[in-house]
Amino acid sequence: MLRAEDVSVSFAGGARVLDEVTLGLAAGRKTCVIGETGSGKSMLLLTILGLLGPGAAVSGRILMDGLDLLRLSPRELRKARKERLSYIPQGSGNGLNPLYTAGSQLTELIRFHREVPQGEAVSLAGSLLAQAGLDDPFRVMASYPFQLSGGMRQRVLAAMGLSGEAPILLVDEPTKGLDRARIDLMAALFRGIEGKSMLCVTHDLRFARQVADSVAVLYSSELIEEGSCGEFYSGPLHPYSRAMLAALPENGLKAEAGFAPPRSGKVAAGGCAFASRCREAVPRCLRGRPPLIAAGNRRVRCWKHAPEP
Amino acid sequence: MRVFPERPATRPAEGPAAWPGGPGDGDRKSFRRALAARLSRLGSKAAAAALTVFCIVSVNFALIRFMPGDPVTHIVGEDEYLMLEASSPETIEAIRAEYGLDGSLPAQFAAYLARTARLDFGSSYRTKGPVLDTALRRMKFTLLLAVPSTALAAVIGGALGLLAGWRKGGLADMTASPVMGLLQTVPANCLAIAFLLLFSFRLGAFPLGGITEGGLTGAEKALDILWHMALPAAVLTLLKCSSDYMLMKSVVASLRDEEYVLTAMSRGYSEWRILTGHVLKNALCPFITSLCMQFGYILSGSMLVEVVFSWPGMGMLVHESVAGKDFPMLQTCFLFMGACVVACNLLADALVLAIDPRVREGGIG
Ligand code: SF4
Repeated sequence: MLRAEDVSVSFAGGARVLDEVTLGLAAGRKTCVIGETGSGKSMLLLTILGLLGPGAAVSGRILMDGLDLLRLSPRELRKARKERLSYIPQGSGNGLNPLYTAGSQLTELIRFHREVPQGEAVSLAGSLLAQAGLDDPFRVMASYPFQLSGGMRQRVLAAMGLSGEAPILLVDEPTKGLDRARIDLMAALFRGIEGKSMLCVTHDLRFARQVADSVAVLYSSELIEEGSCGEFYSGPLHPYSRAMLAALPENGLKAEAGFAPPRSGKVAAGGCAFASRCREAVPRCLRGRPPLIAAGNRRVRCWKHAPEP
Repeated sequence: MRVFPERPATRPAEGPAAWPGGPGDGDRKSFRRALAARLSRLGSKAAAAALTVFCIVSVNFALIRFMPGDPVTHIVGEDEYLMLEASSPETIEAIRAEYGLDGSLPAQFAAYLARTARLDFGSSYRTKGPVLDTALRRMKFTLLLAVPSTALAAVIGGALGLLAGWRKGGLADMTASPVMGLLQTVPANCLAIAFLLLFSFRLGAFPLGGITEGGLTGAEKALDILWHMALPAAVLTLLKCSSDYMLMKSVVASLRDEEYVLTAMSRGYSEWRILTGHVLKNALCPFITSLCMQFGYILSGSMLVEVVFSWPGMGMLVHESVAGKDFPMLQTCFLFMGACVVACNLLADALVLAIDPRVREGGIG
């Protein structure tokens, strides 16, 4: 359905935000991309949408139905965005225009996708918002974004993302700024979406577990592990993934199993990106960058899973 | 959750007209509340504006009275004053009384305020005629120049700035930025003189100055005035255009990275739709604020241009009054200009209040 191949992104200042990321999204499946702030996960979405701006140098391919999204004309790109891709930005940010009511933005989008009179668009908007779990959709529609809570904005944005026919949803950090109970509601909302593929970027491991079919982990702009949700949560392969999962409350907050404090001095270029914090590092880790190694249906970027040379 | 209902599922009984804030029946109260919030914010701004005007009046009052020497000296001139002092001191007293300069300071101030409230600004030292008539007439001429220039500059500069800020390095940016940058650095009088030299002296296409030849009526007179104002208006427009352009460009360039603009682009909206529907309205608040402030200043600040083109506006009047030491006239000019700046700021507040719901509801600002 959607496949990123060896996608690298760097900015004029030299900062590299994605490093040869290869990732596939199957039709009707939900994939969560997990990573810390700064791991490049939000950049992945912007890259797919072609929204990085002129300062970014992008290489690789992003294939969708035989099209390479990175090589479309502006016109084709607009068409792809309208018909195939649907972006749901963070509810905590200002993904909604501050000067228009939520309702007017939603109806504008509905009428952009289907030719309906305003009155019908308003009704459609109301029912979409109700499905997104908002109790008083028409009050929400009359509100300006600053009058809504982060969770309500997130729901409005989700409803907007679902208002078109686009088969692919690109969701950015839907849990940011929400408390646990609201995150669970949000997870139920996204889990319940049917008939669409979803690529959701999050730093919330619990949310990912509730929502995803498969999981990909980004660390320091590299993809370091990818696999199905069940396998990942029952037996993570990469030391970084293991440490993250061990630090979850339900796993007893085992911080000692987590990262070593970063070692002083920079790891020699070309080594494993995680080497400076890895408790399991071996000399080999510092010498060469580990490739993505297939392990059953999963892939992991760690020397420990490579056959001995 | 179904992805999209094929038929509208829930429709409120009263229809969309019943939204809060709308004219619907059940929500009159919240609508009224929003209106009241708006009016009260505007009211407090207006009170601040009134206070500012009062301060200007007070400073005007103080200025002439606390200058070194007897104010009457400035009215009649030093030689005359010395002569009168020796020959007929009662004439000096009469003049003092005429201009409200006798009695204690508080009494003078009260009398001054009362006269100001009646718009009685006294008579000019120079022409001996009532100050108000002259000031109003000159103000009219300045407005005749300033309003079209400001409007034209805002439209041209704003539109170019919008395009240039949206596409950095695009056609609008590459062509307009150097020109506007140059205009920003040129002083107003230099540009005015250059225009005068080129178009009036060399080419003889436009008159050297003034507002009309005189002796004309009706449409002919209007055309003549247009012909006379073409050069000064062009200079003012160009100068204002450059600052409007720079402002709009930087505002739009910063809005371009806003999340809602990126999101709008991700929806596949055309750039035109995003620019006019989503970016423009957000850029308008800072733009209008600066525009109104500039308009306040253009009334006073077009002096250099007015003097070069001998355009009989406020700026010219100030120029003449300074040369003629015409204090009542100057005071009135300052009061008018100050009041204009204040009024324009108030207008900006009102417009922003109308555009930005966050200010309206007391979220910010
Ligand atoms: S390659 Fe070495 S340093 Fe990197 S994660 Fe694996 S064990 Fe740790």
